Amino acid sequence: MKRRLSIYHIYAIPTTAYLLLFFYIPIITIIVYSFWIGGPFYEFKPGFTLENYVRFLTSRVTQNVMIVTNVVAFLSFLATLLVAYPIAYFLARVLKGDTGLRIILLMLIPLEMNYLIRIFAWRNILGEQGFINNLLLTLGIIDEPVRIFFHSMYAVIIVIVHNALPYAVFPLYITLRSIPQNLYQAAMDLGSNRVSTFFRVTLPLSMPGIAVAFLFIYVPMLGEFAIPALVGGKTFLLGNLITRQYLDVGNWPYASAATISLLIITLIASFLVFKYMGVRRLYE
Amino acid sequence: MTTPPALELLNVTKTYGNVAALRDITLAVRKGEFITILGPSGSGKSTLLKIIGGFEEPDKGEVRINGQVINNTPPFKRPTSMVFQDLALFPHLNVFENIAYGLKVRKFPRDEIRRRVKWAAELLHIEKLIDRRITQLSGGQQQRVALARSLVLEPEVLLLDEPLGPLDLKLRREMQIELRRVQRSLKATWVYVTHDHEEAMTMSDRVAILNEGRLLAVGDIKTIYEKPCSRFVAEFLGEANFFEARVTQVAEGKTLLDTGSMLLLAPSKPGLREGEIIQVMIRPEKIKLAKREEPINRSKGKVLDLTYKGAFVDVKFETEHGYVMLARFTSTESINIGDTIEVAWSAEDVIILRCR
Repeated sequence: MKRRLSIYHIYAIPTTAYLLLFFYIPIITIIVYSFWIGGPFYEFKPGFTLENYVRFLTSRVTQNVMIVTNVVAFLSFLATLLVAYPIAYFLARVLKGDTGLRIILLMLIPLEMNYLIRIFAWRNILGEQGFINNLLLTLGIIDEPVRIFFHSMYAVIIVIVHNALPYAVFPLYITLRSIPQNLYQAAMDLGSNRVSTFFRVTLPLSMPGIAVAFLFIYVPMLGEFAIPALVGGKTFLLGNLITRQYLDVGNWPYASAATISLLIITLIASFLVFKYMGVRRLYE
Repeated sequence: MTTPPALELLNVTKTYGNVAALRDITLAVRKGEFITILGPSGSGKSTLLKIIGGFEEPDKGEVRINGQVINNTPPFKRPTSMVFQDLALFPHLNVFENIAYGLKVRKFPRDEIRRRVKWAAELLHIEKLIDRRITQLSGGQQQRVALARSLVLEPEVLLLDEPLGPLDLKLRREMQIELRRVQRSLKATWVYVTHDHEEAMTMSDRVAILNEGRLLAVGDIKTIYEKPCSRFVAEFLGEANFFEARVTQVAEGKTLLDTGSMLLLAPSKPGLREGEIIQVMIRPEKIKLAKREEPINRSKGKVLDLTYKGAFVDVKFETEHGYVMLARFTSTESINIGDTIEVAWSAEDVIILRCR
């Protein structure tokens, strides 16, 4: 078939221009940088080398950061899922009609607030002089402020659960809603009680929603830097490593190589999730 | 001691808000019987099935299986199984896993599960599809899987909620015969719900006709078709000519009726009083082309319309008595629109529509 330009192709121009300007040009720039010859304090020169990639992928330090990042990302995903699933189940299966959807819209409102401000709010709750410590002190449960909730990995996970909750509830709600009611009846008819119905029918059929929640939470976590920096204490993730290399160390080629490596890992992870967790069932 | 019926409904009543879905339903189903609950949509037949399956609770009345009241037994503990209207097969499981579902939940040993699934798959001729995904099956094959999934559990009562609805006519006919074969070979008790009277005729031992939540007639389909007791039942099962008539004379075994312009002789029914107005019915196929001398159970009329239906032809004609009647003749009769025909029928084919 011969492709010819027609007047309708004009409609594609704004989108193409937008993507080109804000998506492809920056990425291509970063790809180009990643092959430059690196050095700290902004002393990097144009050129072509694989040195940055080799350093990033073979360094013991970055490997550890990678492992920690993946562990934190996975724990955050699990924690969010444990909180979001019962909420989504309640909204989708217990509430009738569109009530559940309206409540989800309410859940989106806090997201309108600035991201950093939300994280700072958590400092007031989790901090040494924060709400939780004051409460526990007042009740006499502890004698001096505990630090377990602040400047720790747990604090990072708590804040992520809060931030990511709507992103998990929404896809779970949609999948749970799309399961035909009579499948539950059929399961009951064939001898399943509520628990058995949940594990044999509801949970397997909500896998696409879990997969989407995974993508929404796990993937951004790989590049997250603000939460660990503000509430994480010693928690140092891939996002922090890249930010430090760009802003503090000033080694742009190395930081760019790290970014591109991360991008490729993310793409592979997303591809696997899409392929093996039945995400396509959501829109087929 | 006599064995109790496989399924018994006693005064089952169900209301949704102000709407009565079921009113005082009492019905007994023998073991090994294929009973069809026949009714138009909204008649309450699906509600009745849900009450038997345990998905709805009756407001009043009892549901018994083999003599035991099961009103408070949840669906997953009832010895019933339902084939759902849209089948409700599990899309994340393959054919084998779908059929094995109930057995796995009941923790049957692995060998027993395999043996039973194989048995059900062979019974329904789907043994070659056992590893397929549900989405790879045709409508008819899905029917078979849904049926097998229930049959492996050997339920005391199998409930079928219009499972053949979405199939095309030819496949439906095939499945009707297939269902009947399976039911006969298992000697199992089946309760089948449909709105299609032909389907009911093909398959059932007995039919229960439901309308607006009331059970109007229960019995074998031939009796109900030929001797319905109400106009609704008569019309629901096929076409008929209805007349309103006054009882003019009740003699032994016979009743003389006057529609105002036409005299009818009918078999008498107990309780008829001279002078009362009643409804009568004559099925179109009972009307014969014939000349009769005496002015009873006969008519003469001009043909208005012909509908060719293969083996027979439906003839609509306007009679000298001022009625438009429908008669069904074999297609070999040569009749044209505008012809004048003379017809007659015998007394036993004039059916008085009265339930008590």
